[in-house]
Amino acid sequence: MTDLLLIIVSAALVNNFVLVQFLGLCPFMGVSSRIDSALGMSLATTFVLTLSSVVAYLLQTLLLIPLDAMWLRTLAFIVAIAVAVQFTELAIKKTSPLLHSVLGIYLPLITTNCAVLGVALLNTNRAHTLAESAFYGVGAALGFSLVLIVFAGIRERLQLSDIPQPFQGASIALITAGFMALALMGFTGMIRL
Amino acid sequence: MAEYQIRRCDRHLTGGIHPETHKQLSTAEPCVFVETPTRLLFPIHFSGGGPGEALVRVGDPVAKGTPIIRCQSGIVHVASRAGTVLEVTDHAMAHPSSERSACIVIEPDGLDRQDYLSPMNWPFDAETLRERAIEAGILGLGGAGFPSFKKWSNRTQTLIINAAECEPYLTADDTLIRIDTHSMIRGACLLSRTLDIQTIVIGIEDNKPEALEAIECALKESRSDCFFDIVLLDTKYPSGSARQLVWLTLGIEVPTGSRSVEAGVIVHNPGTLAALSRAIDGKPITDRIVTLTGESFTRPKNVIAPIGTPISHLIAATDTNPQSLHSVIIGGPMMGYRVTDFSAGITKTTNCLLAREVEVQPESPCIRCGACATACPVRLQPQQMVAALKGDALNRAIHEGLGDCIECAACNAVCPSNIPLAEWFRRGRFEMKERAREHQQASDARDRFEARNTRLERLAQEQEAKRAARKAKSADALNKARKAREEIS
Amino acid sequence: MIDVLVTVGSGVIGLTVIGFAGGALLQYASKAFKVEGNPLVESIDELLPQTQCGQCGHPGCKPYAEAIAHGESINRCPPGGQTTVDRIASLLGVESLPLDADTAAADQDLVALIIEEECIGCTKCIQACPVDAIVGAAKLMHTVIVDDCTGCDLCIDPCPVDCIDMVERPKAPDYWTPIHPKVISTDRFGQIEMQHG
Repeated sequence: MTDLLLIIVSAALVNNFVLVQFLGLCPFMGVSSRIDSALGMSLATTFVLTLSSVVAYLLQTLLLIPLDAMWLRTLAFIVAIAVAVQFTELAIKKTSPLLHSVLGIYLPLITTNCAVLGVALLNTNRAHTLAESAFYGVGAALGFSLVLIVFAGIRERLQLSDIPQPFQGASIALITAGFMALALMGFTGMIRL
Repeated sequence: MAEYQIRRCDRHLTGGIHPETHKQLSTAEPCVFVETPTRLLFPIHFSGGGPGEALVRVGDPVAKGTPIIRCQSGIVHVASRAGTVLEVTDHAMAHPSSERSACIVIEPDGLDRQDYLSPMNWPFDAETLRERAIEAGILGLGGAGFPSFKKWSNRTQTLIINAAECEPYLTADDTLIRIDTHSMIRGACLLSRTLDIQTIVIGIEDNKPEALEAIECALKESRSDCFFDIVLLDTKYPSGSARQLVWLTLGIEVPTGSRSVEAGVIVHNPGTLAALSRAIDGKPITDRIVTLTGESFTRPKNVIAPIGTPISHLIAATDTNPQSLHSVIIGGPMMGYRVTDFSAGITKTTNCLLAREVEVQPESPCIRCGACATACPVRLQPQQMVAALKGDALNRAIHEGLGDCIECAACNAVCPSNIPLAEWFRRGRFEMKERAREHQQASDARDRFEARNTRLERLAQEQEAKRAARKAKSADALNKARKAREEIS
Repeated sequence: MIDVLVTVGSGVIGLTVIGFAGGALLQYASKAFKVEGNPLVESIDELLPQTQCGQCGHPGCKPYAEAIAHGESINRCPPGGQTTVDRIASLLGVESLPLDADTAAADQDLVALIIEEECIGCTKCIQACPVDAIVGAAKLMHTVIVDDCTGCDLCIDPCPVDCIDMVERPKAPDYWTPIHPKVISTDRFGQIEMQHG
């Protein structure tokens, strides 16, 4: 049990996927201008991450390894992720068309989010069990959501602040992201996983 | 003797500030009547109670108490002295808008003609009292000017007399309680008997010992059977704000968006209740106590002045030359507003004229110190709200609680960067109300549009049905005729 | 050789199976999550001024809201003004655009006024008004209810005697605006109006 909790903490904070491993930066920059869209995106990514890490593990254990088709791993994972993302998109369109319209192209882009594929592949590399894979996915999603929502909150306040002309827009956003990454450096080396 | 108790308030206001009160400045000298001025000015639309219409024309003679303005809410404003209507013209007013608007100008003739209402005899019911409050023009004399009769209903359970007077420099209520305690108590009692209120709460700050003594004396002599709960409040600004006062005295927190009347509590200024007592005897509001105070006045004091007295006349009553002043503040230093045209006449809500020179400090950027949030009595975040308003994000400001702001300006007083926070919130709240009004208009227009479409569709369908019925009828008749012909032939 | 074929074949078959399974799941999902209508349209319609004037090219505000939900440009509503364009942009999370109309005319808040001396009681304006803001009947005086008029000016053209004018919406007699703080605040250099960026 402690192992599983450690996995979550490691994936969420110590080895945060966005600010420490620098995966999944596209939605991080693209959807974080408002808190409500950031919240929607993080919920969608959480769902996709958890689902796809479990499905990827199952695919690998039940299909790829028996058929000795590990060389098809990347393709198979991408298909699984694409199905999960499409499913999520349909669900979001039904429950909140406003969120669907606000997220726009970034929702299907979760398919190409390297964090999602990264979680699936890292599970393979580290030979996680099913439970460990699921928790790893959850931890990664928690870390992604945390960072995305905090960043969105900061960006909303930045919009109302007096920023010097050369720094306005993307520059101050990237500088802020750099500061956040600096903050997460405080966790370096705490858990080696 | 009326039953009463004095207790110390055990609740403390979160936030708020302790400004220098400067109350002794205007209480050193006794309260006096001012001479009748040579002109009396009454704004038609800005006297309190909504837009109004003039009931007199140029040249009409008026007596003290003759109705001259009737407002949309029903409230009547009367001439405060006998005289003649000189003109009805656009004039400067004692109003924060610094606009000129139609005013009735009366020239008093010094004679004592009166035009009062008939005295009311107890017992009378709530409806009669309400009508009398409308005819006598009773509105909130504490400065807000809300028509008092609108607060009264059969859901009312408690009356709070707002004797806090928390704003610095103001001593008008303190003076009224000292010199006219019986009228205030009588007004409170009659109102409570009419509305079936058992407990009358008096919220009074602990810096008014003379007023407290006067209340005790009056209660000992009173034959009322109401119970009086006198609550001594810590001297802190803004404990006199209605929501804050209800919480401090009764412990009831009025929710966002609703008023204290909906919680069964009515809060009245002592002057309003004294005026109500006089109204029951037949006298409409013709005079009020005005505090003339500030370091720029030679002899600050409280005065009893007729409604409509020009500000210059009051300034002269303090032995000060009106020319020596650039502007005066109407109200207190926290929530008051400046006027520069001293020919404007005071209204029923003008409770204080404050003359002091304050250096206007330049505004600096916000340093995020958070002093404003600590000072806010409503526990809002002024820093966030002003950032949103400056960035044109009114929705964000409303989300932060702009609708709950009481515009007390405590945040202004503590801001080290001298940012005019309260002015931003005043403007923001105005825009919020405008936007709500526009949205309501748009919704109503949409409803009417859809209703019209439904109606046109229904009419078209009825037409179709009629046409089909007619067609069927004529086809039927045709068939019958054909059959008949066949049978014959 | 056979090994390679078997490996590749089994892998391809496996992938095909996954693909079909995923496709079937998505088919079911698309039926289960079918959306009737478009609730986004309601949110957009809430922001439009409801003048039903047709200046956007659509026969009313709801049709324009539907068009926006399907990708039409958001800056075609003059009665809404730039404020409405910005609000729709904020709602949809897109860039705001400048209003595609004569802005000076769009900023005014106008209502119709029937000049009663010239009115002939033909009811053409009553039939034209999309929000039923004109009262009257045949051969009787027509008049505009100011509070209900949205200023769409659809009644101007049908009037055969041209007796309808568009005037500024009258404000209540006790209407006043608090001063804008930008007018009174000064920055540390003694200059009015700090630049806010």
